[in-house]
Amino acid sequence: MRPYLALIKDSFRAAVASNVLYVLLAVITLLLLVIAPLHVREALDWRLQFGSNVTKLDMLSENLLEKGEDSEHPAVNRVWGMLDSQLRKDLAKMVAEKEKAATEIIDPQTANSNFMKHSRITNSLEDALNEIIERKDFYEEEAWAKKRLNPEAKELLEEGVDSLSDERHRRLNRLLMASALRGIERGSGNALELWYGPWQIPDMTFPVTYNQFANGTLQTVTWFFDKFVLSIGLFIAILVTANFIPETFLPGSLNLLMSKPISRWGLLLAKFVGGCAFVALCAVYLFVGLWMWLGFAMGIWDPSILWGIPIYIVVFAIYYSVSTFIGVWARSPILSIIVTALFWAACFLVGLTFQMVDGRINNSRSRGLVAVGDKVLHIGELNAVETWNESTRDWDKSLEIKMMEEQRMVMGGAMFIPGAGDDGDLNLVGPVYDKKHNVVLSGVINLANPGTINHQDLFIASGDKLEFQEIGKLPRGALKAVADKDGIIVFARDGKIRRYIGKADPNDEGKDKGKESDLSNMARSFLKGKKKNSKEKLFEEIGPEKRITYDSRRSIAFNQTSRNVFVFKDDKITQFVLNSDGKYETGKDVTLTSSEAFLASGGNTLVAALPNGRVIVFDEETLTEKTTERPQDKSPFRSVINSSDGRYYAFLCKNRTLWLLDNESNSQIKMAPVPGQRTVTAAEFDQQNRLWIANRSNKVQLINLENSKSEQTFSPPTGWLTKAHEYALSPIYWLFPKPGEFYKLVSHLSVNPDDAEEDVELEALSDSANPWQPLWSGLLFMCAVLFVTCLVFQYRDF
Amino acid sequence: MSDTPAIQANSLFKTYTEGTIFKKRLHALKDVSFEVKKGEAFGLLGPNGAGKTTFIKILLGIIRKTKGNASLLGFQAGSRQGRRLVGYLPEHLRVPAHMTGFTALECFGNLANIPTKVIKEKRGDLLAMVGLDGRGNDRVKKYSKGMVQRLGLAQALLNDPQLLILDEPTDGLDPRARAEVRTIIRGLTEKGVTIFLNSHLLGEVETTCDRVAILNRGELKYFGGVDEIGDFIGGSKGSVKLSIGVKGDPDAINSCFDGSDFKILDRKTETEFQVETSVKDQGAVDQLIDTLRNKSISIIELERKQVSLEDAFLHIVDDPKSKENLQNYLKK
Repeated sequence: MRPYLALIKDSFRAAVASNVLYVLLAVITLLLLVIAPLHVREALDWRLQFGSNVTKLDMLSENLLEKGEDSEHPAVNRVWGMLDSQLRKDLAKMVAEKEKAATEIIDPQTANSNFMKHSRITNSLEDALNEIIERKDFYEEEAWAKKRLNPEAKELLEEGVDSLSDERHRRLNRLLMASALRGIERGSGNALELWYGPWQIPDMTFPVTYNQFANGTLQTVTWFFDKFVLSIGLFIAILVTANFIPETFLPGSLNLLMSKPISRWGLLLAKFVGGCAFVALCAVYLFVGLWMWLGFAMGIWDPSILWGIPIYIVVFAIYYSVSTFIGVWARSPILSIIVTALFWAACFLVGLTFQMVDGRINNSRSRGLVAVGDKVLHIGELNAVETWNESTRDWDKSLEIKMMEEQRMVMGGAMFIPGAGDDGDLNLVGPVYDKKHNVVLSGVINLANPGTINHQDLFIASGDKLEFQEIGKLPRGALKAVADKDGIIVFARDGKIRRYIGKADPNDEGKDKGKESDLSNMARSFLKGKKKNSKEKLFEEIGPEKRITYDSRRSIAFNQTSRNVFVFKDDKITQFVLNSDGKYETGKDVTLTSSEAFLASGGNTLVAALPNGRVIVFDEETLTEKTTERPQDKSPFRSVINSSDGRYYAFLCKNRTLWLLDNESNSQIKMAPVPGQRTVTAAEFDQQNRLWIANRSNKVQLINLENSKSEQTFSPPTGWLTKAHEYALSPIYWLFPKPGEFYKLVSHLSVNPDDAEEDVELEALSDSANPWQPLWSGLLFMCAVLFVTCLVFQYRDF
Repeated sequence: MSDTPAIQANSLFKTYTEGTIFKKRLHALKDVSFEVKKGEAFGLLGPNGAGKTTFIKILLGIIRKTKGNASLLGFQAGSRQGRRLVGYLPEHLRVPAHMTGFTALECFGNLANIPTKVIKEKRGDLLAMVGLDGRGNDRVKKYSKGMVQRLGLAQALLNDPQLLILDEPTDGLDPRARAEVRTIIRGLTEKGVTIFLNSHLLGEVETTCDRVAILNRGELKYFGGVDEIGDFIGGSKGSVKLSIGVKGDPDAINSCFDGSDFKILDRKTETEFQVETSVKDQGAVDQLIDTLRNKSISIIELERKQVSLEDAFLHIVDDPKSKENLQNYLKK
């Protein structure tokens, strides 16, 4: 062993003697010195940050304008009264312009100009509200006399406003403002402020717990250092070390080395390991420095950041193996540097191409399925509603987003960005199938008029032909549509529940006046090509009195059996019950220890799927918890669906696995017995409790859960991009090292495993299905290259 | 084991192949056979491209033989057991610039599996022996070419080798240093270390080595004692070379040398000549003197000229029949 250790030791000596090493160490020192003064201080969460803790700006502005001068709302009066008169005028103008944009087509130039103007107004509003929060005279007892304050605000008031410190006073004002104005969150109470030496960095207050901050910081730091510091550092290291091996092969050096009683494999491998010494020294210095900075300045003493040392040595070793191979094969330092640099570029190119093509395929995947009798509607790329064409054996677009040609081109390019069209961000409402009237209703976004994004056009089709016709508009801010036994119900952001009341054929208006129309008549009338009447009232409000505003369709569940509605907001599930007048009124509620939840309800159960992977099953009537389950996988949920009778709940995860909870067999959540697990992108139950599933290639199957057999299959032809991805790009990508993905492994290792077990959000764990894969494939690549290099070295004459 | 030759080559062939598609073969060694006895100083001679370094590389396992056999101290050539007993100073030695004299010795010694402690005990004496006393802590990049060569010699001696293979050891050294290296080599020979010297400097080989082998274009042209090389050359041209200063009648002088290979180097006066000739043996020398005296020719001076190694080398290398001659010589 002594000879091989001598070679490694000598490599360390060479590294230490290298001027480049000192330059790099100096750069790292400089970097650490620059970030050293950056630190966090604990503070109370009082500052409003629009876009962060105030996300519903429209609601806030409308709320201020609507109730600002209404004496019924003294707390809002108080805030409104403290605003500058010019700002009040601007707000009024802004709300009016937005209202107009929602209903009329605005030319793009005006829309852009309005956007800039509105941004300035909201910025002024943010500053003004924060100034109010800082004022000592904000609180007036009579203004908040009728408001139900939360315990924290009550406690602060009980202490006496005058006795509070400045910071606690600001916190009280924030709570008072949150209770006065809809759209402002109370916040958790604690916040962390980012400071650089003695200066606080503006707009850098994070209303998070220390644990959340630590996890976020570790991931951000590892990502930043991977992308900006180590990429450059590794490239420099490759350049510096590329001549190490070829230098060994100069006759005067090699002949002496090979005359020694050592094996050639050992000699080469020891030289290789020694060559990594250069990077090892830099990595140790950088990561130990980072670890100390995180510890001293941020209070995050997490040794897992030190995993970066071996991991980045491995990343370098992968490149160095290529350098070594060229060094042995060609014995030319210049060629070694050129080929290694080209390989470095090729790795990034392969990674980038794979990500883009994978993103493109992923973005065009099936996003949803809607069972329409024995047929199925397929929601494809850009939320287009598609029907199966038997003659072409492919999906035909029936309904798609309205956009201008330029927007279509931009969107086409954006589809190559991984995750660009992820998560149904376009917020398509519907399609929803009304069995009673045999019609399908769907909203369509009109991107050509940006002002109407929250005000979708409404389309209808008969359940037989599935040919859509525009009939008007959905309520503003519509989020979700469901069908009950009487028709269709729409939920909007304002918290109002509306029933769809289709008027009959406009020509028959006199005949049907005052009656609820038959939707099928209305559909028929439109399908005959009659002109729509946009003034026609299409929706009727059916409660509730006490509204809860919400912004995610996944937080709304509708039980078809009981017709109860469930809404998750902040940390609470609220039940809305249909009364004898056909109106919804507030029922029971239950508080969860989570700020997010996916809801689904069927039969006598309600299910809440939480970001930490837990699934809580409630009795839908009493909201008492029945059981808590958890799929074995640790992938975040993408959606939760239920069979109408509530027997089955299916959980679709981001890693494209589908899990099933069978309430009848009272079993645990198990992987659904469907083909193509890890490729499932959408699922839907039909009325017979069979499961429609769709995969990434838009193949749709109807699975009988009793015997796991496929009863129907719609398999469109595979596109050339998918074929190229599957048969060429994927194998190459698998084989090539993935330098751009190693930070994910460091991030993955940075999460405390104890936390990962329970309450850490699965999204935070890792966004990679298998964070270790780049390491294994990289090591495999390196071993293969080294093996070939050793063979060349062993059997070649020098 | 004591009878085991230090180096033995038996019908050794080495052919290099160049090019991937259009392969070109180069025969670096062709049927080379000779042996080096333990304890002797042996020289390997040959012009550039003769195959000397190839031969050494095969011995040390740096390259592989194509055919034949070679052994090193009784072990298969290239085996680790054999290399363990050898010290080697390569031609154009390169020592990494970051090393100092001491760290170079430590590294190369460790590579020969010598513990660092032992190296530290020896390194001072060794550096002093090769004339680098007090320079052990200096970086090698500050060393002259000759100093690097001396450091190479020191590292070759670290493992107390039984066989020292020196490839152009005095390359780059000044005359004084060369003399010192020769002294070291002689000292090692006296201690029983076998020396295998590959040098272009024929005079150095002549003064250092007992026996030599001469290679040309991969073929062995001569193998034997340095003293015997004249005899070997004599096998084709006559063995005794004479330079005679004679005085007398020019015709008489001419008749004395008639029939033999001679040339007049200088005519000092009308009757005084400096003649060079070659005769078969000492008997022929006596007969020539008798003939000259019988014809009243005065012998002013008589010098028996030695055949230098350089002369022999050039003669052997240039002689197309040298392989034949070697076979005949070896048969004798």
